[in-house]
Amino acid sequence: MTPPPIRKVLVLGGGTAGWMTAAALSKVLGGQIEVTLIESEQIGTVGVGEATIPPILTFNAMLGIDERAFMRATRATFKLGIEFRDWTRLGDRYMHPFGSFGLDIEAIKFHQVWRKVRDQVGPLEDFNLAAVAARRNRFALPDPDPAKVLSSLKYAFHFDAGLYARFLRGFAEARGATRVEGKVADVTLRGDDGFIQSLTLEDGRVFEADLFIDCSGFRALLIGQALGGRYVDWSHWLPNDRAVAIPCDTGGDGLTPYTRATADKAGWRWRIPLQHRTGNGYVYSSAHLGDDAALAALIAGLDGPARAEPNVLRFQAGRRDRAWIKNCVAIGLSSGFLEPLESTSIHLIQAGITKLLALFPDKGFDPLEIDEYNRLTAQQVELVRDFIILHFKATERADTPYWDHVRTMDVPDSLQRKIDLFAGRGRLFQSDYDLFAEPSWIAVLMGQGIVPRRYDALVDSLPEAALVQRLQRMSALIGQTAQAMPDHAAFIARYCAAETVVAPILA
Amino acid sequence: MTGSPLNNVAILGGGVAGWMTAAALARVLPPACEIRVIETADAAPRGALSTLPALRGFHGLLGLDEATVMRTARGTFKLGARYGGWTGFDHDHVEGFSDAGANLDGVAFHHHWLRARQRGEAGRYEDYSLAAVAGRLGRFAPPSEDPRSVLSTLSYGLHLDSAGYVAALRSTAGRVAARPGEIAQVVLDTEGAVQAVVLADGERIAADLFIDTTPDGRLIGATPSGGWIDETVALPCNRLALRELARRADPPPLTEFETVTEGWLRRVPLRDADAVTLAYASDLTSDDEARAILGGEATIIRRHNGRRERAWSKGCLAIGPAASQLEPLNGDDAQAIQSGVGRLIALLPTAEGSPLAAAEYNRLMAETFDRARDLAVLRYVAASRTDRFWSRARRAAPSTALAYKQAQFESRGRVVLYDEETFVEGAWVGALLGLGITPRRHDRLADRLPAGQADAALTRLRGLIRQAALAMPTHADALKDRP
Repeated sequence: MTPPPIRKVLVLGGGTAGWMTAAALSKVLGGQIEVTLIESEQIGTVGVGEATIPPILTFNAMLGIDERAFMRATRATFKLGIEFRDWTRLGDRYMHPFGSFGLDIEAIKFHQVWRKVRDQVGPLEDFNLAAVAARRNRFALPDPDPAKVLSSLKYAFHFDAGLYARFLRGFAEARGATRVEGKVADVTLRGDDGFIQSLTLEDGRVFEADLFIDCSGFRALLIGQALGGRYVDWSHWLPNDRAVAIPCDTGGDGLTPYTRATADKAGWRWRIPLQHRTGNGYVYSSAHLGDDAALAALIAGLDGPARAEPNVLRFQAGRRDRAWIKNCVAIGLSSGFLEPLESTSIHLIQAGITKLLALFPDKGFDPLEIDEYNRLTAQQVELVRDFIILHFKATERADTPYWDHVRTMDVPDSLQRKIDLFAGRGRLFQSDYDLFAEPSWIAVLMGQGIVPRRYDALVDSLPEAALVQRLQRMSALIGQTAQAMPDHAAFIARYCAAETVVAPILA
Repeated sequence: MTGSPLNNVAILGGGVAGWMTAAALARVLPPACEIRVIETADAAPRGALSTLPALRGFHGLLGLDEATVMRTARGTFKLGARYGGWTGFDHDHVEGFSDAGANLDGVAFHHHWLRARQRGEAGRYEDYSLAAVAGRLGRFAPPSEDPRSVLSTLSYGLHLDSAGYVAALRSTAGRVAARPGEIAQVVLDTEGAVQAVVLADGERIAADLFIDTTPDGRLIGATPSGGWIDETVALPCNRLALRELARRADPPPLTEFETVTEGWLRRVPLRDADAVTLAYASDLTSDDEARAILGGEATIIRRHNGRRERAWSKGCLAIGPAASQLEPLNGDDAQAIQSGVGRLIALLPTAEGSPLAAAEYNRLMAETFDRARDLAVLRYVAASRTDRFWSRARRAAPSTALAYKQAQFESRGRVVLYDEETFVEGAWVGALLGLGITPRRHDRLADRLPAGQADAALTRLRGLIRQAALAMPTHADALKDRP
C-alpha cells in the first residue's frame, strides 16, 4: 500500500535558498502541493555568492524564466569565469574560465599536447574562448550553430541576490506559494517519531506541514536546533571563518564579464560587478587577521565610494552530517558552508532542490530515499570542498603566516591523489559526481603552478611541426571569434539594461 | 621532459586480450618503441564474442574497418540480448542497445511506464526500445544520424568469432613482432618486479613493460602482489563448454541466454554457425555431462571468477583473464580488455616505471570490474529457478553496492550509478525491470502529466517503434548487404 502523498510543504526562511526552493516547488509540483514560506523582514539575509556558474541556466530553464527579464530585474551582468590574482605568488594572475581548452587531438587530451609545445604556442588561456573574451571585456551569446567556435561559449551571471530573491518571490507567489511574515518562536515535534509537527510564530499562529525545508541560514533552526543534526567541521582545511562585505560604485575596470578573486594577507577578496554597483568582500581567517584590518584592506581596494555599511559574517566551513533528517530537508547555509571562492553557494542550493525533486517523498518518508539524498549531497559537497582547498594548497606564497600555513597543511587524500597524478604527467580522472569538470581542474591546477612534469608519451606519436601549426590555428580562431564579440557593457545596455537604475539615495 | 619513454613492451600470451593490446599500442606508441607478442598455446582464441557497442569505438581508434572485421571474424550484428527462463520457464525479456522510450516532461521514461502499468495500459518495458523490438523481430538497420528519426536511438554491437577477430587485429598491427613460445620461468628481481621471462627454447625476454595476457596470469601471479580476489560464491560457473552448431535460417541480431538446470546456455549467431556456450559449476555437473548437453562434444574451458587485487604491479600489467574473469553473462565480452587497454594508454608509464599511475590504474580497474560483476550477480539474485545450482547461487550475499542499488530501485525506480560503471542508467533499468525487479512506487513528478495524455504518448511511441522495426530489413538481409 502506497503511503499518501505530501500535501503541505513549509519553507522556513526567505533568502536566496528559500525563494529558489519555493519557486521550484511551486513550478514543478504546483497542482499537487501547497507551498508556504515563512520569513521575517527583521532578519537580514546573507545574500551569499552573487556570482553563479553555468548550471544556473538549467535552473532558469526548469522554471521557464525569461533571461532578459530576469537580468533586468536583478541588475545582472554576464560572467565568463573568475580571475585569480596573487594566488600562486604576488603579482601572478590567471583565469578559471567556463568551457574547455582547445580540442583533443586523436583521443589525446588537449592539455597534454599543449604541455609539449607550450613554448611555441603561447599560454593555455589563449585556447579558451571565455578566457580570451573575458580578458578583452567582451561578451556575446553562444551561437546555436554547432559548427561555429562561438557555440562552445559557456556563461553564467552576476546578480543582486536580494533582487533575485524578490524576483523569485513574485514568481512563486504567482504560482500559488503563500508568504507569511513572522518569526518562529517554537518548533513542535511529534511525540511518537520526533518528526516536525508544526512551527509556532511569535504572534501565536501555528503552521503545520508534512515536509519542512530549512532555509534559515547559519541558524539552522530546524535541522540543527530542533532535530540536533551534527555539523562536520572542515576548518582545519579551510581556516577562513569571517567575511566582511561592502558594495561600492562602479569603477576600476568597470563591467568586467568575470568575477575577480584576489588573494590577500589572510584570505582573499572578491569583486563582482553588477549593472548598478560592484559587490566586494574579504573572506579571512580571524586567527590571522583582525576585523578592523580586514575592513581597512577591503576599503583600500574598492573601485569607488562605498554604498553601504559593511556587513560582517561569521561562519565555519563544513557540512551538516545529514542534510535530510526525518521530515526536514536543509537547503542553503543551514546544510553547510563553503566559502564562495568558486561561486558554488547558489549552485549547491540548486543541487539540493534538484535532488529533492528527484526524491520527493510521500508521507511514508522512506529512510532509503533519505539515505540516498544524504549520500549524494555528501559526495557532491566533498568534491567541491577538495576543489576549493586546492586553491590554498597549491601556492608558493609564504609571505604571511596564513599562506605559509595553508601551503603546508595536509589535505584530504582524495585531493592529494589528484594533485600527484596531475603533477606527474597531467593525468586527471573525473568522478561522475564532480561539479567541476576536467577543464576547471586543469585551469586551477595549471593556473596555480602545478604544471605536469612530463607530458603524455602518446603526444610524441603526432608530428610536432603539424601540432604547433594546428594549435596556432586554434588560438588564432579563438582570438578572432573573441575580437568579433561586442563589448560586455555595450551588450548589457542593449540586451538587458535595467530600465530605471534608481540613483542611490545619498545621506 | 623527464623520465624516458618506453623502449620495449613484451606481451606474453596473445589471444583476444594480447592482440587488442598489441593493436592499440601499435597505433599509439612512438615508432621507436618495440612491441613483441609471445603467443602461448593456451592463450589461443576460442569460442565467440558477444560485445557492447563501445567496442566499435575501439575499432575507430585503431582505424579498423568494420566490414573487414565482420568478414574476417564471421561477424553478425547485435542489438541486445534475450534472457529466457529467468523469471519463469515461459518468460523472457530483451535488453536492447537503445534506451526505452523518451523523457516525457523531464521525467525518466520508466516512471511513466510504471505509472501506466498500474492501469494495465503499458505493455512490456522492452516494447519501447527500438533495439529490443527490432531484435525480437529479427531485423536490423544501422542507426540514423538524423536526431529526429527514431532510428537515431539505435546502437549496436557485434558478434565475432574470437579466432577471426584476432586475425583482424593482427592485420592492423604490422609493426608488432610476434612468435610462438612457452613460458619456462618468470625471473623476479629483489623487489619482486618481473625482470625477465625465460622461454622454453631458452630465449630470455627483457622489457620495460611486461603485459600478461596469459589465461591464468603466469607473470602477474608470480609477483608478490598478484593476489586473486575470489568471486565464485556469488558467481558459480567455473566451467564453460563451447561448441558450434548449425546456423539457423533467420538468426536474430541478439545474443540469447537460457537458464538450464545445470547453469545457463548462451547462443551467439555467427555468419555460418551458432556459437553455443554452456556455463556450469564443476561440483554439480561433470564435464562429460556438459558435453552430453551440447550433443556429445565440446571444448571445456576452466574459469575462476574474480579479479587480481592489483592488475598492475611495477613493470608487469595484466590484461584480460590474467587480470579478471567474469562469467560471460552480460554480453560484455572484451569490455574489460578494452577498458584495461584504454586506461593503460591514458596512464602510460615511463621506462623507469610509474607507481602512481599503477595505483590509479588498479583503483579504476577494480571499480570497473566490481560494477560489471554486480550486474552479473543481479542475474542470479533475481532468478526464480529452484534447481540446486540456482537456489545455491541466490543465497550468496550481493555486494553492499548492489544491495543498495537494488533497494533504491525497488523503492521508487531510482537508479544509483557509481563511478566507473560500464552499464549506463538505461541498461540497468532494462535489466532490473526485465528481471522482474519492480519499484513499489514511481517518481511523483510523472503524475504532472495527465493520465490520458501520458497513455496516448505511450501508445503512439509503441506504435512508432514497432513500425520502424518492421520497416527494417531482416538481420540475414542486412548481413548480405555487408559481404
